[in-house]
Amino acid sequence: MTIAENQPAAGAPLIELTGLNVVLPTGERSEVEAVKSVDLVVHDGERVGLVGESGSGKSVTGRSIAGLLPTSPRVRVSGSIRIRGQEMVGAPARTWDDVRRKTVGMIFQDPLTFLNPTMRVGRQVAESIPDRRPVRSGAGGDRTARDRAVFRFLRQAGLPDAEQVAASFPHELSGGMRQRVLIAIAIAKEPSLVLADEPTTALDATVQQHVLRTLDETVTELGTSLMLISHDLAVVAGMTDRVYVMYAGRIVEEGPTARVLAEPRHEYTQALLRSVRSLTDRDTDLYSIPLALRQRFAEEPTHVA
Amino acid sequence: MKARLIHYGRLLLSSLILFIAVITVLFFLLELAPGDPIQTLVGDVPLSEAFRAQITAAYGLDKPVWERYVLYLGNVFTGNLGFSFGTNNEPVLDLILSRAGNTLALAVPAFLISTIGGIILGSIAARTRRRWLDGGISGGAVALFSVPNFWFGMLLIMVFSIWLGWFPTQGKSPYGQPGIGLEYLVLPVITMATSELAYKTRIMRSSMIESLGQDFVDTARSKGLSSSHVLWRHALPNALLPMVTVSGYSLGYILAGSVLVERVFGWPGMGLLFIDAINRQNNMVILGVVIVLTVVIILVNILTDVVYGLVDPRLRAQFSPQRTLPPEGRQDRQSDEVAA
Amino acid sequence: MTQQETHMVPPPETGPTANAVTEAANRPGLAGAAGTTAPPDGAGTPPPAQPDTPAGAAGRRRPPGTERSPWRVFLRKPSTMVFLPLLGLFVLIAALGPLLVGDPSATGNAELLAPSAAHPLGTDHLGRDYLARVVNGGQISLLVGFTVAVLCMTIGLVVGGLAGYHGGWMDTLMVKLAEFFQVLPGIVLALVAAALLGANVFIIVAILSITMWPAVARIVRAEAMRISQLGYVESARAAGFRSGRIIWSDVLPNALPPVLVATSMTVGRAILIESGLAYLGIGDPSHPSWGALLNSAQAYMRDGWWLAVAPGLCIFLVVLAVNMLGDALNDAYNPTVGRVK
Repeated sequence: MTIAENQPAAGAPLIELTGLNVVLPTGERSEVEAVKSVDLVVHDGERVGLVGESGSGKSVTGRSIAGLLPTSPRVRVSGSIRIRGQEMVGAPARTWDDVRRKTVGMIFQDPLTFLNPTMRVGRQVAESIPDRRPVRSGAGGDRTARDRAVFRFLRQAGLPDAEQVAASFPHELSGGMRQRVLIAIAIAKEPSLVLADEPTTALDATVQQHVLRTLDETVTELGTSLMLISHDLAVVAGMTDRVYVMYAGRIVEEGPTARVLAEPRHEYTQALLRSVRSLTDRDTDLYSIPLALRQRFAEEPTHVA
Repeated sequence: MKARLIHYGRLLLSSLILFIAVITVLFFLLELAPGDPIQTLVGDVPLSEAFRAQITAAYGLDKPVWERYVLYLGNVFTGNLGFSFGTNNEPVLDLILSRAGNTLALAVPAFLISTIGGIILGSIAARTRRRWLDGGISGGAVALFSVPNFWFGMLLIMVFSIWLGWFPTQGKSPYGQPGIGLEYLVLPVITMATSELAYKTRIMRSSMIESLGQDFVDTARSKGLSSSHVLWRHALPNALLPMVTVSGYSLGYILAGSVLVERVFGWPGMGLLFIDAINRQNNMVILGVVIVLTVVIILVNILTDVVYGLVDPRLRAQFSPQRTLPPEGRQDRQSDEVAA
Repeated sequence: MTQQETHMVPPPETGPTANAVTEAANRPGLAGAAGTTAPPDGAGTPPPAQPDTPAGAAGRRRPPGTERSPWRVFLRKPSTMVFLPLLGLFVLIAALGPLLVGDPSATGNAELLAPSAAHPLGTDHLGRDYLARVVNGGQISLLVGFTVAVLCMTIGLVVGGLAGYHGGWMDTLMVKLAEFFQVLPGIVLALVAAALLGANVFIIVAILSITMWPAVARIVRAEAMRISQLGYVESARAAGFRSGRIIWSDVLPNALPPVLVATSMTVGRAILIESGLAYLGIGDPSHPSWGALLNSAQAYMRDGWWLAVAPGLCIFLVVLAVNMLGDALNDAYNPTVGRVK
């Protein structure tokens, strides 16, 4: 029944969030508005960054695009999530499965915990390859063709020894290799959007560069859109064309990455940049955003576009 | 391979030490027992002077404690568990082995039912969004876990045997007939399985909830896999790991519990033998049963360890030579995290 | 054999954690699993901060002061409100009941009378009032259950605290001892000891305590190991504070919630084992406990079903109450935020 609806609506952006609100439970009786009236658009082939500090709601925003919020009934999502024009808020689980199977590939933060420790890497990648025929078990379909595809995606993700990696268990690989496996899983479905949530935060600085380059290359090769979620302005600066800045669940600023970083308009972005630069520049004192300013940002109801 | 050998060598050694420790405790319990040592050894049986002398010589009762200890240990290790003194002086080991089959006829089905049932019920309770279903399974598990097992057996007899007349009340087969009647098996197996089923359901439920909360489940979901695929292919194998350990121990508990269940149903297995021996103070038989039980439990523990090593790839890897993967880049290689 | 222990225990990523503490406490075998996972930190502690996962985003807590203490959460749980009074009722009956009912060994009524107004629980095969016998029988069960639990808790705190804090040979010894009792099920050892040494309450309590302390000790040990590695404890040690004092003031308060959970489960298990022993005829014949009543009831299942119902129901309700309270306590100290995923 979803086939007709799933056809890309002419002119509709790949991802379109309007007035998205997400409420998450934090305790038996407490909850938090993690995302507050967020508007966000990703077009085909576009590279978008989403920056903010821990707890700003950027990860929750990313997860809601992939339909990967906790399934607790206490999680409340309102507003609109449109993927190729199709409304996903309140959509049945099947429709979400469909989106995750074909449209959105997600790369997670921690390469060890996000891989199944008891399953060989090859099978974990193979599961992500969409199969035209209904496959009962993960090993179904044309075995050798599938294997070849697995090796191809692993190589594309920067793992030249694909055969050996595919036969390994996650704990047998290094952190950088595991992150590449996660990339291979995300691109194996040849998605329209790669959604990378802090893809290199758990890695060493040197490995970070390698993995980011691979991500950059694969996205370019496949011609997919990229949404990069990070707290690291430097990472976003090199990888994206457009950026959203989030604070306390709200988008406070949006614009071309170069412009936002060069001349931030919102006070929070300015403060954020200042604190980041104070870390790297030798001649400035360490700056952290004052509490009074933080409270004001958090309460501010509107956002600068 | 070498690491694996060292590991199992250690495991065997420590199992041996454990076994000797159990024997030692039993020996000193015998020593501590008040009254005439020969009478303690032989049990509540009248003794002739000649027999007295024979026993004294056989067990070195005139020798110092440590010599007697070594003698006892030697006897146990050569499979000599003594004799059941009384009417026909049967070797204890033969006596126990002749009853072991009957106990296993209860214990093995109980073990299988409780393990498989526990995995299924626990998974259902962990996954369902219907509160009443989870509440029902979890509540039922706590309740069954709190029921005295033997009383549960009595209730089953009163309802299904006496009131409804579906099953026989006592024994393993119609009077005088050899073998085991299937209708005789039903109630004792159910009784034996229930508390283990309850326990395993609880463990499986929390293990499955834990597993479903792991990050890799998110990855599996992000592939667009159906929720049942995520459950059975990703969450279940990981949730089963603790169940391996639990199941290993449960066999020991089932065998120990057979003492009660066999008494309730008059089932002539090792448990009933044990109780009869206690009532008649047939001490050689009492110790013999404990020794055999200990051996079984230790063997099962070793088996559990082996199985665990096989099902958890992280442990399996410990024993095989580390895969050597060529570096994917120098810097990357240097910053390798220690693989878990 | 520490090798084996770490090996048998599921790795932390997959092992049972907070939820399983309850189960783990019940069995020496599993307590090992609990032993390797850090005990709960207390209620409401946000999950370890990961940058900006939903958990991180959700990490903002209620303002200080508005959080309810775990103890109050425990007391307000529906199951607590049912089972705490129930347990209290049984304790009260055991303490005062014998004064209110008649002599449990007085014969003279008709034999095997079904429950009636004069004899609410009927009479037994010797014409004794069954209510009086059941009320008196509770004393032994409860006494054994609670004494064993207190002894286990004491032994567990001392041994587990010392082993975890000092490590080394003390730790090895404790682990080996715990393993020993894990191999030999308590009921079997109790039966042997009772058969050889005599079957009185003291021996039964002693044997049960000796076999059941490792469940508590492992939890204390894990907590003590964690604490002894914290900076401020090391500095306290460097400053010359005695280890006994550090264990008392730092290890104990942190280990107490899971220890209480384990202890409550010990009560239930001790009562079950005691009743099993009594059912098998091991116990004080002059003061029959619930299990012993069931032993004599076995012969009258056909003609006096009530003889088998009342004592068993009492054991069941007491053990259920204790287990439910343990569960509630565990939930209160390890709140799970809904069902995630």
